Amino acid sequence: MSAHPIADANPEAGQPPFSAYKLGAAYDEMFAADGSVRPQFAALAHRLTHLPPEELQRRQQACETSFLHQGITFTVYSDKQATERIIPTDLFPRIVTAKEWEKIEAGLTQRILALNLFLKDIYTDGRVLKDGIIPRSMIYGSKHYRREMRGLPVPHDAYVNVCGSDLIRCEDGKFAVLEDNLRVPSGVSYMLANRDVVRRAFPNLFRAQGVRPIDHYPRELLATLRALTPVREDVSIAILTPGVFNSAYFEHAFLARQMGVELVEGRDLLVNDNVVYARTTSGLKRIDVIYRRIDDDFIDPLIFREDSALGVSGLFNAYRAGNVVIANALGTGVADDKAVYAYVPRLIRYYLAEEPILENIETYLCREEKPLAHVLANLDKLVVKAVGESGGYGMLVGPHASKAEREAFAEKIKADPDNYIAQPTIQLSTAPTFVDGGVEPRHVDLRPFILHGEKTVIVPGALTRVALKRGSLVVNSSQGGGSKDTWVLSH
Amino acid sequence: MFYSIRHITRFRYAAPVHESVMEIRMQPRSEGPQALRSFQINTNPRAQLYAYTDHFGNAVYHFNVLRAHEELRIESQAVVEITRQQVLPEAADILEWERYNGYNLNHDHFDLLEQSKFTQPSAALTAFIREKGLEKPDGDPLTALKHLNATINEAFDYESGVTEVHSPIDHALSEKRGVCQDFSHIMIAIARGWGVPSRYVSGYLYHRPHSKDRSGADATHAWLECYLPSLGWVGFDPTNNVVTGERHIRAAVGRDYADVPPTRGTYKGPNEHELAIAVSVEPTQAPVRHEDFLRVARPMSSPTPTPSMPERLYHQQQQQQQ
Amino acid sequence: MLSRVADSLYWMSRYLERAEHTARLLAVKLETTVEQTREEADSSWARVVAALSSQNEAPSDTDVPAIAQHLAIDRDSDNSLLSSLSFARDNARQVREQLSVEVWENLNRLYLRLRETGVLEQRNNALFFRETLQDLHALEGVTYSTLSHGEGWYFLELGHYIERAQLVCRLLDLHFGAAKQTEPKYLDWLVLLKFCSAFEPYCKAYTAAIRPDKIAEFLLFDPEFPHSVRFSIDRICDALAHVAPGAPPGRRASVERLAGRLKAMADFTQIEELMASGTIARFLADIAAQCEEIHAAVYSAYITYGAETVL
Repeated sequence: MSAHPIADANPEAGQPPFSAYKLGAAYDEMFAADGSVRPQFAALAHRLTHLPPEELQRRQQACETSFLHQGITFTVYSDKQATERIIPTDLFPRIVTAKEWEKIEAGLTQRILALNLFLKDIYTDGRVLKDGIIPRSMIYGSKHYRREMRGLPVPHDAYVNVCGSDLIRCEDGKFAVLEDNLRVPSGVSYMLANRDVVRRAFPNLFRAQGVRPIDHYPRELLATLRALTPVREDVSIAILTPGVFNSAYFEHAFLARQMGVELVEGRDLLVNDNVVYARTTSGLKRIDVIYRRIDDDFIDPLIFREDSALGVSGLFNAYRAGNVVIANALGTGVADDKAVYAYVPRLIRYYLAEEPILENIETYLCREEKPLAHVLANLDKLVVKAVGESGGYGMLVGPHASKAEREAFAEKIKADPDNYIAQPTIQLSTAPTFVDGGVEPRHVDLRPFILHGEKTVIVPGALTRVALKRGSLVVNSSQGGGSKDTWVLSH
Repeated sequence: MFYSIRHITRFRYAAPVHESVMEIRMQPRSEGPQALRSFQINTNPRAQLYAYTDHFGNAVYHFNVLRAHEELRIESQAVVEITRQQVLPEAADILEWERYNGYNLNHDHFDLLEQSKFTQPSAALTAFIREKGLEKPDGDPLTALKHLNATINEAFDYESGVTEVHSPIDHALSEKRGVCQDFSHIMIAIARGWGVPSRYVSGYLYHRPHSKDRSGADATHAWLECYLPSLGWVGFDPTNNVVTGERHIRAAVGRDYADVPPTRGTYKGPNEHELAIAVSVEPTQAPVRHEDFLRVARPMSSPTPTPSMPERLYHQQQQQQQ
Repeated sequence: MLSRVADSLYWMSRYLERAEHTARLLAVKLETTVEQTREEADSSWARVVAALSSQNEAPSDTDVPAIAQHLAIDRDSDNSLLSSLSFARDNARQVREQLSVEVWENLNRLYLRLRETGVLEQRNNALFFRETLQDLHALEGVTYSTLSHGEGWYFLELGHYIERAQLVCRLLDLHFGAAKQTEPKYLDWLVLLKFCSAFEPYCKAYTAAIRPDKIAEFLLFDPEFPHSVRFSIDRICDALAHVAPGAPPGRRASVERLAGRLKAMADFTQIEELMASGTIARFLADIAAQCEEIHAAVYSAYITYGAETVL
């Protein structure tokens, strides 16, 4: 990896806090390859170089305290001793220009339309299978395919109402989609909370830059959920959470508070005569819309996993009867499968007769003979992922793995090739990040949140996840990642 | 031929339970040679019944009982007419294998080629296949399936109580014993491996007096159906080594038992319960009047119990995230 | 409010009151032991043990440090101070989002500190319990001032005072009623007042003359002292008027009728009648039983009601 100090070309040459900033092969969000500051970062760079390091540290600390106080924490229950931790937030914002956002927005809108058409198709006519666009066994063999959803109408044909797509910026500066999260995507509360603290840390800068607001996300989410039910007056909406032991629990509580809706667990609900009720001190309260944050498998022990202690018995039949709406619909996971991912560009062409606006990462399907051979021969250069997993589990990062690890993984792939895909190792772009009083580049991705129902709404913002370890490409919060505020500029 | 079927299920709980929710798949299907003439369900405690048709075309009834009860009894009564039976040729032609393709098969057929919960391939199954020389079908599909039917029938003893309702096929494979459910699952797994779409059938069998049927007359029965492109669905009953005929009354079809249990339910209350099941199938000329109709049986399905499972709750709560 | 949330808040509060009571009894007892003869100390320890243990698991020890250890941080005893705090915290964790950061952090910190205490240091025992008591008081203050006084807060109040009324009744029973084993001496009466944080308030009302009937009157019927039974009952009635605002009138009436009866008993009974006729034992038992009834009525009306009864 060729790295050189950027001092020469930088107008703020040699000045802290950028004195230790080394550019690598990856695209850098702030500095062009020649070391000059990209225009959208100019004002920010100027401001930050004039802040004493102690002041930066003070603001970083204030931000962490604020997270703790708002309860924006996740709880580690490892040794039966619950410790509240915050997901580390980096105060250095990530900036997306108006032009870049325009393309992201159009690309994600196109994508969610195609994915919803795909879901409708495979749960009704299955044209896409008949036409041989996608192999049948990939759908029928998927553990996320819900036969119970066949032929069931969903409001506005919108199966995925809340989507979080992971984008990365490749070495050539183009954004590409890494994966779609269509089941229970999380992280939006961090997007909102990050904005809150950064706005307080740099109020003036914020105004001058023309950062587009995102605070209306809870309102938009509420409107999306509301529009899913024909009930018009006193619509009763609840967020269904697995409970306090879930690492995203605070987000469930946060969204419930922000939207002013009930936060319920499965044991708070019951179904009588196909109607869902919550048990309150004042009596049973009917529920019209459930924004569920638990997996399909667990949602109704009568229909799915019978050992589920999180679900509500009879919920699916109430849903089938049209007496309650569940968002996201069940069975959406079949479309965010990592193998189906490889077909999304083809799905976009098939359903919309358009070229994909956002690119996919090149993906080798181990289920196919030639790609499998290629994968096995090039394990040291590839990232291999299990198809149905998320959160960085069941994954091999070839270049960082030992020979023994690679060989062991090769056996796993050979034993069950359908279950694996591989992608080239991608240099995620780097963005300036505060490290020990200075600023260093760290790898980032981008997760915007798409709301889809009566219409499609993408709040101009995203969760930028950052791999805080130097050189690390793993941004998942479950694997030691942090996050940043993401500024989408209005011009 | 008319049959009258009576099917009683009774759950008795160790202590009062409440918020029972139950799904029932007992209504005989009305298609092909089988026509449903009447059907009714009664529950005690009484409950409002709801119905829907599931994606396999089965009629599903469901209901819930909020108030505390110590017993839940479900009684269904059906009259079914079986008219003509398809006359099967002795064998299919050998080119039938070529017909298993996208032109002749639809989604549902393709879906029935995939593994399902109770038909997973396993080492024990592979060993059984090797032992019996079943790696590849011998001859045309119909001949091969009949042979498979007979092979399974011969390889296993019929014995209830060895396997349970949620046993994987490995259990029966290692014991060389089992019941209709196990035999059907094993045959489905092998037939699917051959590329023959196969489905599980739950239903009732009319036992003629002095019949040599191995299956019990007082329980529900299970068999399977295999798809042959030029003949349609053909039923095989490996328990009794027959191709199904006018004595087999079909109630529900699915990928395996998990899709079609006659009752599936949950309730809130203590785990212990006792299940009694009674089934009678009679030609309607002989009206059903049994004095001692119920008998206590081994539990056939286990309704999900009590919410008080902190460990499980804890682990499941942690898992849900994307 | 969800019934599950109300349930957790209610029990969190009951367990905190129980923890506070335990800490106070132990602090007071350890502070006063030095002034008693061996025999007096034994009988008065027996009283503390009886006040804090359920009958079947009272420690057989007579060794003071062992008793204190058992009542304070024995994990295997459901009645120990540590267990009470642990139950309170478990309940709080279930409704974490209903509490303020301050409440959660105070409770969590207190629990963790106690949990890390292995064997009590003999010398500073009293101090240890005093500090714990202070922390619990601080938590009570933080709860009062950082939570909205809505329905949830009233469930906290309800749990707090139902527990307190019962605990004070139990103490009085050990000194006046059926549970009395030895006749309390002068110092025992003093200790009783201190068990209820009542020594100075009592002196203000009745002078420092220690008279058992006046003590009983003060701890039972004083309308203004927060550890008196009557005060607790007033708080219970107030809380009941504010919980489950949307419940149908019939359901509310079933609870409020019981509370009204209890309040009338506390408002109109005279200490002279109880002392003269010797019916104080029955009176105390009656109050405790009625608190239990109210608890049961609250649960069957608002928390565990059969769903079929409200449709």
